Amino acid sequence: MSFVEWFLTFVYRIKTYPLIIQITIVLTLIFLVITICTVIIVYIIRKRYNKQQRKIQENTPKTRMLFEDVLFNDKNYSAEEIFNRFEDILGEINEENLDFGLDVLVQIKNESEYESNNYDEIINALGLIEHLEEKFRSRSNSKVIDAFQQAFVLELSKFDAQILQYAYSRNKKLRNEARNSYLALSATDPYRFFNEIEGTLTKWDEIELLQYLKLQNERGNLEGLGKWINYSKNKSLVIFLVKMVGHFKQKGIDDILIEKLDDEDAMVRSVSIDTIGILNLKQIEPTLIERYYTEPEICQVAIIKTIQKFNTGLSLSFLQQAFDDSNNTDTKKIIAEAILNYSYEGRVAFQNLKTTLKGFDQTILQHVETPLIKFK
Amino acid sequence: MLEIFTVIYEYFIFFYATSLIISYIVLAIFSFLAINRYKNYNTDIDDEELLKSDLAPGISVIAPAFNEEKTIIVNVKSLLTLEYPLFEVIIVNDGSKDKTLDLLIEEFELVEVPFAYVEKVKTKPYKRTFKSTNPKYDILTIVDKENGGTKADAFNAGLNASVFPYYLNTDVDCILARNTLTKMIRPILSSKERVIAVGATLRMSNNCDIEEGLIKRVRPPKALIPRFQELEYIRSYLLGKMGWELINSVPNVSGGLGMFDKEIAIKAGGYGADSHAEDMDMLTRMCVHMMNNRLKYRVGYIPLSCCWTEGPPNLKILSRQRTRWASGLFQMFYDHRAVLFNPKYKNLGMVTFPYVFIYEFLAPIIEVFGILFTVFLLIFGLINWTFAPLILFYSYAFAVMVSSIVIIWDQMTFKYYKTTGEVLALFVTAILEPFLYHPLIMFFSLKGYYSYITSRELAWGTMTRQGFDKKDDTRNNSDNNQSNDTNKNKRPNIFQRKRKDESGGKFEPIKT
Repeated sequence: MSFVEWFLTFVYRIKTYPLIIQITIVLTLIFLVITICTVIIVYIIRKRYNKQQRKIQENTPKTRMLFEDVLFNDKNYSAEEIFNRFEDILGEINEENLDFGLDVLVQIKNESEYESNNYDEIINALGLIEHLEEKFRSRSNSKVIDAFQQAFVLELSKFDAQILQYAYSRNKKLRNEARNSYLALSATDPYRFFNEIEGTLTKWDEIELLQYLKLQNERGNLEGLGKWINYSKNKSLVIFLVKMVGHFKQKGIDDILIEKLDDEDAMVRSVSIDTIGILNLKQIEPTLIERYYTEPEICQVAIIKTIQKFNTGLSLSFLQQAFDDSNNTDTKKIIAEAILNYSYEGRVAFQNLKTTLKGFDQTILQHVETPLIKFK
Repeated sequence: MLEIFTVIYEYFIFFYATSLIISYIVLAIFSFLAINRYKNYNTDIDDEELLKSDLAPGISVIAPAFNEEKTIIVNVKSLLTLEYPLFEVIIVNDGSKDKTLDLLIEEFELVEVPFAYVEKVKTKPYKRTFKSTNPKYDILTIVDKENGGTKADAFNAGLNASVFPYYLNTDVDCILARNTLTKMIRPILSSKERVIAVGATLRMSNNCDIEEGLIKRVRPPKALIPRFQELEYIRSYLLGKMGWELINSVPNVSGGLGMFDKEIAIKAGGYGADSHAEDMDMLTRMCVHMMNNRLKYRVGYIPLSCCWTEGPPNLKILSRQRTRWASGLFQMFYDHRAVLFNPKYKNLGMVTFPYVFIYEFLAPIIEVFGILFTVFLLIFGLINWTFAPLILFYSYAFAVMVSSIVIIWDQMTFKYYKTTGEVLALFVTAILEPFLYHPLIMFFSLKGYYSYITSRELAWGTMTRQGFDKKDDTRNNSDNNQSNDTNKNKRPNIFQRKRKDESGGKFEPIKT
């Protein structure tokens, strides 16, 4: 009996079965076909992957060596030489190979301890700007995100137009990434989207923005952040920027910071107090002490840390009183640490406390004093 | 009468099986979307950014240890090699009877220090804290406490000793990937809503190459039981939890590897100290706390395998492990019964809990009932021999297909295995699993339910470790069995518990 005959007989027999059994048989066949397809797909995926891995293993060291030669050894390769050598290693220069080269370059930039001014030579020789532009035009979101990050790592700032098209994308994640990246990658108006940040900044937004602000700082283009702190209605942006003022130790916005001490949001007040400490605005110390007992825990902790930073020697009795009054163990640890590090008088006061206090308060003091405990 | 019963039963099974199949298909689609979304927006360059950032939040890595002398040193070293800018490692010695603590003291040059241990969550008495005199291990803290009988109690002690706003709970027998913290903190950092917990995939370490506490080469286990478990884990994490993640309904973040928001964990009352399913119990408490306080939250999941743990090498150990899990599941549903089918708890009460209850908790009971019913039909000659094998094969083909799809999802995410043969070996595992492994799991689950109802004694740490040096297995296995006997946790049976509830101990979702 041929297969066709067998199949027809099989179909004829199935037709005589109840409907539910017919459905069962059809679904079983579908399941079997899907299973077989998955095995084939996995086999194909693996074959491609293994080939790619072999290529990476073979070519990465050679490519790395070529790039490091250009970057860190003073051998003056011409653009043509770089291109030809790269072609010798990888064969035909296509999108896949350029992506590979770009990955290696990004890896070197990320890992290398040494600076080099020769990145542009490789970028120009291989046409990586055009390749990145192509990636920015890609329909794949992952390629676009990749392009943002690679451009940032390589410190390329020629993509205003490409980024702008995503800065108003309907895809929230892409839009966010584009607006953040604009700060690092725009050559003309990097701060453009500070006024258009939507909703609350995530912690990741903050991490990205800090990276980009650092880059602007290295380029000498970091603007005073006070104007956005003053005008922005976005609380999360204000909190972030106040932190950044402290991070970059920007001067000249004392009045704005003092004004923020009266903000209705406790988080804004807390970061402002921290920043006042970093900027060493010692004249605010009496105001901070005055406010201490009317502030929530988060601001109280900031005040203690700030007073420790000021280290004026005038507030030891306040710190001791705060230690006595606090019921929160974590806060007590911070106050005890502040007393211990508060000049010579502080250390003496700490030892006195150790002799007078008993029970758990004594343990807190010993805990703070123990250098083996890294994170108090 | 018999005919009516048979018809009702058949209809029940039809709808049960059909809904299960549909749910699997839906989960497969959801997990595909979630995995793709993760892959599109997460790159390794993000890790570099995070590692260099001054704004990376601190993480406390908490791992309880009970009689873990065989693997403790290698595993603690593994935890110390994690890559992250700001973290501490807290090992909670839960009253080990073996040399766990002595080995730690010797290897890491530990000394007792005055430590302000605050009992934010109640635990069995805390004894002391050790810190290393070697600056190389300055992020290591060892908390020594009396044995609490459950891993949950030990986790609570770790929680009390931790200083950072997030914590990663793991087991000391787990080997973590070095980038675990950077990968797992990412959903917390990227979300506008508060992410209270994040999970990732676990795999078996049985045949992997491990050097200095680091996974150098991933292989599927050679032995059948851990290999079955590897497939089961991949299916559960990649298809199940990753699918649930898309609709913010992850039912459980594994006790082997989970990152949590410490503030919420403490406000939710910490781990249920007598819980044997401490992971699901903890997440449920946290979700309940958030909903009771009308706070928005998310539970995140990442499709990467960040943790390798030793799978049960034989039936005896598998039985212990699964009996404990099943008993814990029963306990969890009993303790949180107010959540089940309660619209107040939204997705948790109306989707996640009912799903786990119907398709995971009840499944072994329904299956064993099905087997008994088949025997009954056999005895009375009522089986339709033309159609019965077709239906059996239909279920089998579906099970194999689901596992095959999961293998593709796994390959899509990250190619952990080096050779194609290793991946294809998983397909063979998928073909054998429904016959060999599934009946065992069903049996052990029923055994666990029985243990819970009759209050049979259960112990944590009953998963006997082979360690990475397998020469001494036989001797040490018997040692461990003995020491496990000393760690038994006597519990009231379900009727006593019910009486206690009626006299005022009724479950009330925690409100703060």
